[in-house]
Amino acid sequence: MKNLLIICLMLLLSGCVDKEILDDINIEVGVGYDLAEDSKDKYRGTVLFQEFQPDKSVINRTFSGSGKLRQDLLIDVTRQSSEPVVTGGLKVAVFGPKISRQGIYDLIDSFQRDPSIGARVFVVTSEDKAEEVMKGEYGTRGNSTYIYNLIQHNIDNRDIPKTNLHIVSRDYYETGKDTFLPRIKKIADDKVEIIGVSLFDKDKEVEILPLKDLFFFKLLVDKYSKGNFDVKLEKGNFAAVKSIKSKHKIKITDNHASININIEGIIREYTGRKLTSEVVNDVEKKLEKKVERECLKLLKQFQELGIDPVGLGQIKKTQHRKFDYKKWEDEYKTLEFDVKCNVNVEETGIIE
Amino acid sequence: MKNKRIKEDVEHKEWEKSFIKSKDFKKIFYYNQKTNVRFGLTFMATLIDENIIQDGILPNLLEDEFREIEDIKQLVPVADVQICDDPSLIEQKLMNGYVMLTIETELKHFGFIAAQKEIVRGLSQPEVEFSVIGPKEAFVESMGQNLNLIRKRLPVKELIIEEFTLGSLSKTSVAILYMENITNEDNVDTVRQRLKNVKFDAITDSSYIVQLISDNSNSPFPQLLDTERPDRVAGILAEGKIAIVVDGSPHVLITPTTLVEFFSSFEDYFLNWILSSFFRLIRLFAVAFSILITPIYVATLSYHYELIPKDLMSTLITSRREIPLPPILEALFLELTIELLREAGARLPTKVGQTIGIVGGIVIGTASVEAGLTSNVLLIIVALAALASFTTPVYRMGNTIRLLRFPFLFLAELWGLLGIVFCFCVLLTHLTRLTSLGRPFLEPLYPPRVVDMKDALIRLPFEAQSKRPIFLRTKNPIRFSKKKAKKKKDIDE
Repeated sequence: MKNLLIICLMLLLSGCVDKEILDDINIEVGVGYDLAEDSKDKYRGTVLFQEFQPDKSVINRTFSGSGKLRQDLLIDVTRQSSEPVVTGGLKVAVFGPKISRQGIYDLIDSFQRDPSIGARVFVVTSEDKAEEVMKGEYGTRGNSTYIYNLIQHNIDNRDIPKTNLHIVSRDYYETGKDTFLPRIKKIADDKVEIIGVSLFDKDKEVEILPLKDLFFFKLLVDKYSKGNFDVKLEKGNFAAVKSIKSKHKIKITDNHASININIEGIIREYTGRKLTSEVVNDVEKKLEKKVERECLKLLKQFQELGIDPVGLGQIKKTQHRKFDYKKWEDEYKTLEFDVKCNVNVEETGIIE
Repeated sequence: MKNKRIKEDVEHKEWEKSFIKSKDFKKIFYYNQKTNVRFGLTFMATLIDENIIQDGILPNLLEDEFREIEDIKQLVPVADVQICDDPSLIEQKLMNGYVMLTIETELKHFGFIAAQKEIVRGLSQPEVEFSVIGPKEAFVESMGQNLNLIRKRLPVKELIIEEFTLGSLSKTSVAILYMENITNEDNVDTVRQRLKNVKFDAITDSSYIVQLISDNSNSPFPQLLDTERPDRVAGILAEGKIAIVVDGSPHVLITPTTLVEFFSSFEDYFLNWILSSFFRLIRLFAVAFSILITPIYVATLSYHYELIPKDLMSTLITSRREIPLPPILEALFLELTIELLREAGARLPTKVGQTIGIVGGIVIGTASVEAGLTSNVLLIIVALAALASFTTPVYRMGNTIRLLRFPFLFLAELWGLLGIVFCFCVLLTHLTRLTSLGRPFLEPLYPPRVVDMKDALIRLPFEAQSKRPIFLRTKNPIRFSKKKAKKKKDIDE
């Protein structure tokens, strides 16, 4: 009797599960949001789907819709799609220039609430309208894969600090830390490039950090495992420091933040004649000074903007027992910084 | 005189009634040449070796001085000669291949002379449990031969062989073997009791015993291990387990046994411990793979597309694009095809079987992909799963593994990955409850016995195997003294 009941339950309850067979659904892989031109709607969204051809090539297909909520957009898109639209394949979310100025958090929040969306989605801002970015034809593996890989390998090897949906929403909710997102630009119909990092105050974009500052920005907010930087020396010579590993330590006393940055690297290229140990010392010194100067400049800039992407407030909270966030907001305006950098060149290549 | 004989015949009729209907029942009378005593030989022609009668019995009985029945002990050069006066024994003795001797003068006494015809198949290589290294002898159908193979490997008096006769019709001899100084007495008693309780008329193979005496006969898991390798039997007897030899069966049963034993091949003991541990782990992986991979395919494709890596997505979608069936039917279709191939291959003679393999593998596989009935990804998955299920060294367990896939498949279709987890929980509960001869079947995994892990999922070197498995509760748990073994030093000192 008991067994019979279990079998009955199995058969009956199986009706409660939504079935989404892989080839009978349209999987949303990328989404772009812009401000709607029509004033009664809030957003205009562009959803990117991949259509796989029998020879395994990918056709990018975009559907656009508008609405007040993310759900309205999905409803609009479903009306155009031949198969049910599911959101679990989302890899990239792009926010257009106007909407990121106005605030993006209610959209990011809706990503968070959708259980089928993973935490490793890349959220980026764009210089052009997000719809334009979505409608390009990048690479052979589909637009979303292209943008995703572009950002992923720049995080792994280059100057973009680590980011994804999880980190973005954590930064947003954390008191004493502000969000930043990578910023891309469509430069041709088949190319996008990274042009910097958007800095946010709460969920509103306030400043764009250009490419040249990204090295120092990453030193402050993240750690390097495979960095790269060119040092300008006297007499017009250059030295390329590669395989940079960095770590930073931040200590905050009442009105003073001291930031220690440790850099290890290898000299791979030198335009001068002989790479003597004096030159190596020179490279270390020059790099140290440069890092200290630029980082301080960045920190001052953040202070003026009233944002805190480094998370100084959050660090202070971990180091001080009686941390009051309201007080901190005032304190931050007058906080003094000092940046100390220590560069260690471990190797200069196999030619001595 | 004539009347007397008729009367005697009438008396005998009672037990002869059924016998005389059979063509092979022979009753012949002779006169001794010296004493002129008339005597009769009764036997079943199909069961006895006529050469023994012609060369060993008749010449002596005809030519030497033969007066009374007691004389046969001196006259007949056969070791097994008995005289008795109990007519109820006649049937049993005749059926066991004895020749019955009667003399006119002593009607109350019967002489029985053993003249069994022994048809023994020559020793052959083990076919199911073949191993490249190690002995190549396998058990045959004759119990005497099998016992000889085991006894040869354990020539000590402590190896006890107890014999039972089971089956009201088949009268099968069943022997239980154990080491008197090692094996737990309770285990032996349990086996004895269970064998005595067997109620079945014809026991023609040891597989009957497996099903008749196992703890839970409703379980798909075999709870007695059957082997055709005498070295394996000798090995487990030394561990303190019990072997059951059934006459007429080339498979000897081993009990109590554990789940992991079914996935260890005896070849593991012939290889270096690192290699054999590696192979054991591979086999366990193969089992998990074989049971779970098709259900996981069905579950992910039907419910959890989020889990598919983005680079695999295009392969999966393009391979399934033209297929009209949902994943479950597609998977069932292929799984059933493989099962059909296996069943057809097993039923057909070897040479035809090979053709079936080729026909099935190449023609059906490729054709069904081309016809758009199945996706080529699933074809690879199902073929790999089938291959993995054949790595199980014990054939009986391999069948169980193949069966287990189907409930997993159905629940994967009903509930997705949740269904697979549910099915796994049921399976695990079943396994933890299962016992072999009252000893836990999942040991040493559950209940956890770290000491017994040395010969379970991996096999440690022999130096580390100084103790017998503790779940057997042996009388003598120590195989060899570790201290003494350490003291042994090389000669150059």
